[in-house]
Amino acid sequence: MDYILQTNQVTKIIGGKKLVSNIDLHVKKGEIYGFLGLNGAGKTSMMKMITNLWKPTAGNIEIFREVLTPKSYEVLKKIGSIIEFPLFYEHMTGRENLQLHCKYMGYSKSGSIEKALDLLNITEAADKPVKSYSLGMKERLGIARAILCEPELLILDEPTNGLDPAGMKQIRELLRKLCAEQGITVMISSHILSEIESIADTVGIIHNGQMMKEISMCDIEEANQNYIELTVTNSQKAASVLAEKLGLANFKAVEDNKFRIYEQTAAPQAVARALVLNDVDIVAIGKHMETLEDYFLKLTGEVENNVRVD
Amino acid sequence: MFELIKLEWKKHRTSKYIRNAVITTAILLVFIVGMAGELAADTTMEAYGRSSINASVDLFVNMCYIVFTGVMLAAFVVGAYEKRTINLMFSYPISRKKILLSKMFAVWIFNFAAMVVSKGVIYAVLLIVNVSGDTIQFMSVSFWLDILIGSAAMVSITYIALLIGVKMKSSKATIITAVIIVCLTQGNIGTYTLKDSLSFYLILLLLSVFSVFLAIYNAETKDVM
Repeated sequence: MDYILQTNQVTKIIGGKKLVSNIDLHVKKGEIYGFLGLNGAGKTSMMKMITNLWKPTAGNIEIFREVLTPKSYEVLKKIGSIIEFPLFYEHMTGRENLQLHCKYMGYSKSGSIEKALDLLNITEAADKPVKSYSLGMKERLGIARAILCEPELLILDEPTNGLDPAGMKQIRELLRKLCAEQGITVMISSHILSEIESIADTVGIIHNGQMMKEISMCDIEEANQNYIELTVTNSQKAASVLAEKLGLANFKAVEDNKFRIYEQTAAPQAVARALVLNDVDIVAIGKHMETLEDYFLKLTGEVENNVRVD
Repeated sequence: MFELIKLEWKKHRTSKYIRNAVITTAILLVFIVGMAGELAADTTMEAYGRSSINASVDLFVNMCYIVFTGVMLAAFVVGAYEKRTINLMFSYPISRKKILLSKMFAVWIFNFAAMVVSKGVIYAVLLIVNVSGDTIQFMSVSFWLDILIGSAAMVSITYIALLIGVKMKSSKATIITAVIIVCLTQGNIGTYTLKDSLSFYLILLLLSVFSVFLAIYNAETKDVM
């Protein structure tokens, strides 16, 4: 398999605290890789190591098939990145910041700045100093800078943090377009699952510094079952009807009075009819599809914790 | 390297510093010419000797530009850590040592040049108003050599402030250290002063070389927070 980015057993310890441990991560060329995890799971730590800002305590990172060393500068030419939040020279204008970026990157294609400004809809603000920008504008300028020098690999750490829903959608579309038209590989981290769900080809789920799972979205869709969600007034009676009258085994109570039936042969109509005939009042019933969020929560075990707290 | 230095100047709006240096020199000039006029009165001249003019030009210009260098180091180097723009700089395909050195050189070159020009202008004006007699050897090589070496030494020792500034990640600490350096090198307690002690300067120079070394030696492998 041709991986553009691969980490082998990467561990990072700072001040005796293990931030990430033994992470294996594989990003294929030309795909959008969604890197998921709760706050503090280790996403930013990994991205800092990938962009060579931090050096791993153990393990190594291969980018473009080369192992990253403290002196791997050339490889940075092919990477565009935003780590944590975009940093600028605040007293300079957006355009000046981009010009400076080109100079440091050794990139001199004319018209590229205009193009990037235009793609992110910030041409109007380009000649105002960055300190007057809103957070969303800075994010846009940050993304413009990241894509400015035609990178082969984009590393975006929560790039849509300050953006409104319309802005998020626009960025998603932009990333998908870059991926399709220019073959850029994108690694994007987020804790907003729905944001990743609609664009990623593969997701990596990190939890408490450990890689829980790396899986393609197609596989998730296959692995995730459809189910019938059922809310009733009397859960005990409903459970016995489901088990005895309908002969269903694969169902579980997710909350008080709420069931999920995973049995593929069960039809909502049949379930409803059986329950009504046995005097169980139905509040709601419907077919559902497990989302990435369900999958994520199942994997990280956060859902059980929440229920226990409740 | 020079390209990087130029970019540093551009980033930090060096025109602003040039303006400030011009203003500083103008104020110094008024001050020194005034003082020289005072000295030129016969009685004081006899008491202090004409060469004290040169000493005071040195003293005031040194004082100003040590602080100036401290302020610029705070903005160029320490500020980059404070505002975390150094993270951005380190994401470029350029060696970190080179990036840091370019910042330090940008400050050094500017202040060295400013100091030499400043002293040159002040001496020239003194010569024109003719208050200091023949102590200003405007045509002699050793006179200019003194200015060049003296300026280089003064700007260099200010880099001790870098050690404190980078360790504490604080611009204020950098500038305060620069002021302390002024006191140590230019001040006196009664007649006692370290100003003329060559070994003292050598120790300071070694310290500043050490500071620069500490600031860059592990830059490549150190994590930037």
